[in-house]
Amino acid sequence: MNLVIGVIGGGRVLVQEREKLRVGERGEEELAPELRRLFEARDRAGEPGRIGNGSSSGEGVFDFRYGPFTGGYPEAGIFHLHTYGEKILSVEVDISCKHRGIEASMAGLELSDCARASETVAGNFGFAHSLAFCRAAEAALALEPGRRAERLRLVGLELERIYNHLLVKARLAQAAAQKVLAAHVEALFEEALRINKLFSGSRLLSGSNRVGGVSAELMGVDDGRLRDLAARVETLARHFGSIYTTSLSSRNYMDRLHGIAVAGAQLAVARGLTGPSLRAAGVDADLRIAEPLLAGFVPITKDEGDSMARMEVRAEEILASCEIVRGQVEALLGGADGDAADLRGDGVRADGGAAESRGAGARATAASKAEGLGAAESATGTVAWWIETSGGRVVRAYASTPSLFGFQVFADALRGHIFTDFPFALDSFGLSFADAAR
Amino acid sequence: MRWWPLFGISRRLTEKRDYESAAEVRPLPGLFRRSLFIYAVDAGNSNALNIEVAALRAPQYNIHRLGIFFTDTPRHADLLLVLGQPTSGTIGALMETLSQIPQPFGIIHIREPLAAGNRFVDFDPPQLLARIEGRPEAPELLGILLKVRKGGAR
Repeated sequence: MNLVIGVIGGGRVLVQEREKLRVGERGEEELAPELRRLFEARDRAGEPGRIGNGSSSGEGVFDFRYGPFTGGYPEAGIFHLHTYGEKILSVEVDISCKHRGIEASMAGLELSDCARASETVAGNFGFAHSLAFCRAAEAALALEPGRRAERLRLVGLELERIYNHLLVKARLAQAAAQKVLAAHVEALFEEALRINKLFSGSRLLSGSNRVGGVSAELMGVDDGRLRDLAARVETLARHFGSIYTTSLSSRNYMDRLHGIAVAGAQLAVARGLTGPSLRAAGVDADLRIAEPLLAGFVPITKDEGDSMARMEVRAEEILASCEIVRGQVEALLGGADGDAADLRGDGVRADGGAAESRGAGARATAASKAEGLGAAESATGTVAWWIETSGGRVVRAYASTPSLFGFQVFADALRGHIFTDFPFALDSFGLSFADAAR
Repeated sequence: MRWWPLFGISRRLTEKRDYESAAEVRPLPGLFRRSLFIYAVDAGNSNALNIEVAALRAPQYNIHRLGIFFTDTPRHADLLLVLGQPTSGTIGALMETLSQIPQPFGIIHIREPLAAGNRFVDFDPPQLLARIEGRPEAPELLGILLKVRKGGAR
């Protein structure tokens, strides 16, 4: 399985092979026409343009424009639903409203400022974005963060996954008018944000990642806070498990999700889809398989590829992520990763030397021109950053975001459904306009 | 298996606490003192503010007991909550939304000072009650909304 998830210019592409990401030499001309059109739309994200499967014509067919501000969807974006009244014949998504030109604005800025800026691509995937960016910078500078920093990063990444998945679950429950379920999941969603604050000082885990490690506050998190974190995550998992099991007894709820917006493995792979939506189509691709500190990690998959399968994958991932957090906290408490006081958490030892820099040392590398690729498995799929750096500043940056591919697959999967199915299809993909438009 | 509508009905999730904010909010005497209907729009924020607004739906806050409601249309709104600095892509729709809200109404604008990008545009509407610099968390956001209501007390 080769997923093309970025075109960085010069005939080079970003390719994901199950759990590994690399810069490929394959020419752009080899891309499938649908994927090439998608990358062209990405590059024109600031102009009103459309991702999807074109317009439709016929007797009484019109373009039902939904957005950019609606009561039904919290983000600014436009859906063009081509329909004759009830059935949706084709779908186009305009992401231009949320384009902020983030990558272009990074040129000439220091790496540390850009790491913070990368969080604002999508605030709810901010930890994954800053982690991928920092990993790209670390690859360029030949820096290796210590094991403790890596472990803390894994905890942050899973905490981000938990609250995002809970939000998707809550939105699906609201769409299905499952008020009891929605209220309980929303309560857990709020609790997850509070757990984030306990862990990092920020409800959305902002400012946690630094080039070379994590923030000093995160690096210095004490054992008491970690124990509290583990206990609250365990309670959250217990409550969620109970709610989820009970919710599956509601046939009404299941019926709203079953068979909706099917995105099978062939379509998903061809369009570059990653994350839980891809795993719901039976493909066990997940960058976490290659995480050295997550030995034995097995991705959760389902076969059906519909909204129900995507909901199930996310629900089971919430429980799995809680387990990962508890395991990592246990290791942190065990002190297996060395003394936290040795490191400031930003890749620099207290004595000023670079932390575990590879070979020739990071400082010499920082002054010269270099490029690096970094990635992280966000709640919705692969987030990747490729950067070119010189003298500690960014020359060029490229972000591959999972929502771009997600909107294309959503558009393809929604064809032929009726308006009532729209929220179940959209929310089950867990997409973000901010993430897609950058 | 418990009957689903009764699931967890004995759990008390609503918190009894004060929600405060240090933000300065221009008062609107005589208006919105009993209830406040809010239309929230994402003008170009990173989605972080949308997440905090979504968190306000949580039973811990139970905002309806405080007379605060989110509406799905500007026609039902007393307050427009603008999330993020508008971009060149949203400013047109934002000004159209402003023209659809019945008078009198107020605007709270929350900016994300750390937001990166080069496509943001100015936004300086006359009915502004407060401009917040930063990313208020849900409890502080609720404190700001309660200040609007308090400002309405005669």
